Amino acid sequence: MAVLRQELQFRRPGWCVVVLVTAALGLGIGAGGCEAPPASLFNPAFVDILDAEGTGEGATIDNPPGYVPIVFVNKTSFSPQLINYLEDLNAARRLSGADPTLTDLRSLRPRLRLPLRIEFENGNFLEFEFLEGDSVVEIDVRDPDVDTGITDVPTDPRLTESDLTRLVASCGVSRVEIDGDPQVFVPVFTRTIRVEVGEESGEQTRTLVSIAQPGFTQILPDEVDADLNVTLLRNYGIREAPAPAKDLRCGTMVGIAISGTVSIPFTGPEDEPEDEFIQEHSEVPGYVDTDVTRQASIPGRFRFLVTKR
Amino acid sequence: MRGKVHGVAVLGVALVLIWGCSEDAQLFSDTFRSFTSGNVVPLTPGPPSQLLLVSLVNDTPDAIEFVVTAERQVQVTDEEGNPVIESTAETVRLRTFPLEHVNEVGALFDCQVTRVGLGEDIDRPFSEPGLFVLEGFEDLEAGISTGVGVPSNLLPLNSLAGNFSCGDTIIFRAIESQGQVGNIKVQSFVLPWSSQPTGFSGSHTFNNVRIFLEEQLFEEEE
Repeated sequence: MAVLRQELQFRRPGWCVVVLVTAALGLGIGAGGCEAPPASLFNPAFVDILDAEGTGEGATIDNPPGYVPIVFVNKTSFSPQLINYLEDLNAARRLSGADPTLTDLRSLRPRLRLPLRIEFENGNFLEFEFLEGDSVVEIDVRDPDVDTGITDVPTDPRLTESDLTRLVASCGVSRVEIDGDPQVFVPVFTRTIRVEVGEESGEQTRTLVSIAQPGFTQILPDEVDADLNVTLLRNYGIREAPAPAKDLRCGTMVGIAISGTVSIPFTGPEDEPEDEFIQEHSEVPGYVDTDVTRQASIPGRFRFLVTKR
Repeated sequence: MRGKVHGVAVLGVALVLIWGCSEDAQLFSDTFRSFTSGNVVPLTPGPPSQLLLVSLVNDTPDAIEFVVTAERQVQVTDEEGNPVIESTAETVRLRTFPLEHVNEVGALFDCQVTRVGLGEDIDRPFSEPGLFVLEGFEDLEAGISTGVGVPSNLLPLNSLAGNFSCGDTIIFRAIESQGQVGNIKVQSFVLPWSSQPTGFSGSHTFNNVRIFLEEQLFEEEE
């Protein structure tokens, strides 16, 4: 009996410790969730090395847990008026004997910039930018011999930067959101005109105030008052603002689409413009400086879709 | 009696693990379940999605921008009406950072990719920079990769040679390696779709991508 009692006293802490440690280990691994043992230990999938140089090192790497793809679709288009203007420029270029820049301007797609932020469960984040669309600029389609009166035309590097419309993140994503204002490239020079009426003659004179160069322009929400009534129509309704994608489980895909029309107001040119092309046209891209509504309408009207599956 | 209690306890833990890893349980994350058992979410796009996944893994202590080029051969008609094979290239630049989750990003390419490599000119893998070791974590000027350009020293993968096929996952991994340019060595891996299970308890990730893309294209045509 003494011997048996001694054995019990010795063993009881042992198996209790085993049980407790095992339970703690199991619950700790499972509830903690994300930091698992090496995948190759459990996952039947495998990764082989493909050594293009043929050395055949035979190394392997752990499988990823899964992916969260984020894809962007650009469904915007140019307004017919803008396309017609570019075609007129290109036709004039062709008539002058210069090689036409493009043969099919009607299929042009506006170039969009969409800044995004991916936040992960551990607090890390990734910021990147979707970029897609054609990079045509007005000066590309114009007759090179036409005096535009414009001497300094800086180029935007994002016109030549590689498109990016699909990004795949590793699992652990907590949130995907549009980070800042999307932008669209306005390919034409936009004039601000001042109209003055002579006090005595009553005649109108149009003078050029400024010329906005082609460039990326922010897509902004409508301005509203405290009751959410629209006070100034801009580029999209505030109720249509893109919402972030949240609660993203491993394997979920996030889809973002922007649709709408890129449009620029047209107005009569200034009196006696320097631009030979402008001299021959009754309307050019631009607005009168007192016309806030038309100015706010630049660069058009858009809709957003953010979905997850 | 003690053995029975021990066994019950161990069995209980095992059941918790198994149940926690099951489809309907919310106790364990999908990430963990995918690691331990697989078959949760796809690791390859698979042929139905008509996509090729190129994943870029940064296992170095530096921020790295990968330059990935996928080349396709398309048949066009020349001015005389003869069929001609032309190569088109699609290049993407993706930045990674030496922190968990952000050290791996990927790009999806539509299928019929014939070659994939690092660098804008994949025919020059020993001289053309395939990746850039970025100078710090600050924002970089758009369209220009500053930092140290490092050639991949990897020949491009070729689908015609059987290196990969539509639906596979290709992984380029940068690791530290003394004696290499920039102290970086690049490895390439392929996860064939044919080695993967066809059924998943979670989302059919890449099929959903293809469905979304097709839906948007269909709406655009309407």
